[in-house]
Amino acid sequence: MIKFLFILLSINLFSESLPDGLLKDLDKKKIDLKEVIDGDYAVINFWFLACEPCKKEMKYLSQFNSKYSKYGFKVVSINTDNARTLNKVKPFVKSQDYSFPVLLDSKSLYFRKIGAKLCPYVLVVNNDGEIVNRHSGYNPGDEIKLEHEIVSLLYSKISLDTTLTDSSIIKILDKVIPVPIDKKID
Amino acid sequence: MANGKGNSGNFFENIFDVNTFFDNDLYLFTQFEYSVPPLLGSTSNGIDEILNMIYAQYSNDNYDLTIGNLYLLQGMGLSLHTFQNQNIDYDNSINGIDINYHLNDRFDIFSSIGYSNVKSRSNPVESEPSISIKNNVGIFGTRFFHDNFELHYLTMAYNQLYDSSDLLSIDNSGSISEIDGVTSGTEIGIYLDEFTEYIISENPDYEMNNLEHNIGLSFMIGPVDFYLEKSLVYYNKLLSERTDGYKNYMSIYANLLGFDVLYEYKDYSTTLLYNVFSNPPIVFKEASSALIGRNLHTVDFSNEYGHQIDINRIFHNDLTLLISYAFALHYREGYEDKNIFNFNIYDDVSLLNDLFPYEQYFIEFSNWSKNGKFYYRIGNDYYYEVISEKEKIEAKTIPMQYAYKFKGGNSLTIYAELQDKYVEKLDYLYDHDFIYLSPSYNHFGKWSLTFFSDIETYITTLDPSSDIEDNNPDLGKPLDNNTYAIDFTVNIDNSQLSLFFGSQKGGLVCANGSCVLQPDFEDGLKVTFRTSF
Repeated sequence: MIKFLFILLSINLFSESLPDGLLKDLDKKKIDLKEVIDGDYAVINFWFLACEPCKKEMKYLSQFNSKYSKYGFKVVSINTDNARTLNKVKPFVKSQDYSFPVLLDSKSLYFRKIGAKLCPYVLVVNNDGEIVNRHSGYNPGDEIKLEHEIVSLLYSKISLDTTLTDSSIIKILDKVIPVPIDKKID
Repeated sequence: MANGKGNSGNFFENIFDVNTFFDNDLYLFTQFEYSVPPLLGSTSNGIDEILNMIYAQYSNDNYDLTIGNLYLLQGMGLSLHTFQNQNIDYDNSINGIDINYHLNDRFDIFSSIGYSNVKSRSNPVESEPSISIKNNVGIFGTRFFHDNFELHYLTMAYNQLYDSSDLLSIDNSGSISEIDGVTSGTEIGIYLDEFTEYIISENPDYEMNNLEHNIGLSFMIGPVDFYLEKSLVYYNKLLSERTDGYKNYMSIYANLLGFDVLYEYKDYSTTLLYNVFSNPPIVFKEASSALIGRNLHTVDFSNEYGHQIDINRIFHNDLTLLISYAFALHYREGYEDKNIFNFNIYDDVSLLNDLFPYEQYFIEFSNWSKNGKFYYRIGNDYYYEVISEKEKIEAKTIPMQYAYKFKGGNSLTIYAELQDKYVEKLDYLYDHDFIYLSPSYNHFGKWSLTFFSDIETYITTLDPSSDIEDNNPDLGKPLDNNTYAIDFTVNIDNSQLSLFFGSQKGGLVCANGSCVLQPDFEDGLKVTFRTSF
């Protein structure tokens, strides 16, 4: 009955610090990823055009970028389409009106450098440039967990915000535990 | 392997990526593979085989230096684009040294030198590559950039060595029927048919020296983006005379009345050149669904001209619209080339069958419901392609995707597709109906369960114009070819364990929040483990 037994063991060894990365923006200008993040808390996502789960996730990432930017948080998106489809990226991104910057990693060198294998791939980075969590794949609903992680990271800043009226953030704030800067998120 | 036509066996594939960062801005990437054998590719278990990839990179303000496997891209890859794609067991990287020197803020000069042994398949269903072309490469170029203007020029010389087994494999990828002179397969394979006896009896090796000049230009005029690239190529036809060819590519992008519109044009004419380092734009929409992905147009990067228009728009209520139209033809000796800007030729594309036309149009709508719980994506795809004188495919597909989010964040996603496909191949006609249904439940990101059902009914008949006789009793009868599978995936921290059981036709497979290209898999168990530490 069983004709094949196929085991794929894929292991990535990686650094916990966000590696340096010189990428290009949509106008093909060179740009340093760390300068874009500029010491903020960040979510970095990797995607390509034919990846439908990626596009679904990016709608939420755009919302998070707008919602939490005042707390020193930003989303940076990195596209991994290569030359075969590269020129289709800018029209798609412009049409979606995302709130975050999109950078190009058309040789997938940075994708490999951070130890990713599948898209969508998300890195959660603290304000010291340390990678505190990674996610691979996106199913509807996963964005809830990701938003909790973001609020955990930003807890000290959000809890001091006396002007906070957004009930969706207040609800999450009540549920999450602040993450010490030097700890990974469980 | 597909549908019981291949070999059964056990596969054991292990890939280790190791990133090492040094204090002085030096970075080392290594990839090891221990596979006995992999599902696709050659066994890799010897000391000299397990190192799949290695490169070291060093950067400072003045230059970037890379030593090892070079993954290079200049412009849109008309001349130079090297990459690894494990899904199809392909890697055309150059082993050597690459330096990119920044003369100032606006000028770079770059150079690479190295060798490569590029492996490929004469037939995509082969599990192991049958072609292995040795190359020695030298590249030199310069790049100027200022604001939204960029200009690059590169010259690339490479020496290629084909041994007799490579020539025979390429020869086998195409043929001319001795009975009626009908051609099928790749153009270069058909061409080599006349040399078959010579290759078999003389076992010749063949060496050629190729030279490419490549220039690319990108700029903006107001809100319009332009990109132009051209390559001139000087090469030998395999086992034959010196010749030259070209590759042209252009794209224009603008926002028109709120619609983001991209127009791309390609004209690739390096007839009978076996492309190794050139991977230019495909100029059609990549498939994002399982059934559409099975009719993927295989671009002939040596002989194809065509264009595509892509239109994207997101409306105020978040309704997303995507429209794409792609069209391509081939150059053929003895046939008149067509002007693709003459709109009359689109009235009846079948009149262009001698030029092996490809036509595909696609429209898709997607949106979330107002409460953000329900998502839908529904499209319509039409595909028409003449592969060779005796093979033609026409398919109409309706891809659909629905997702529902429950209160706590668990969700149900359903991929559903319908396809009506008609194939004329050699002396037979095939009428297929496909129904693809794949529901997937995700439990708060902790585990997911996915079912795959792929239902195919088909009728094979003898082409009325054929003069052969076939008394196969199955002709004219509806038959089926169904596959079913189940996947269970558990996510623990940075690790993922998947158990897949059943059969699956190759192509784009979406499960557990990712879509990847998979080879055919028949009636077995597949265990996949991924981790990072």
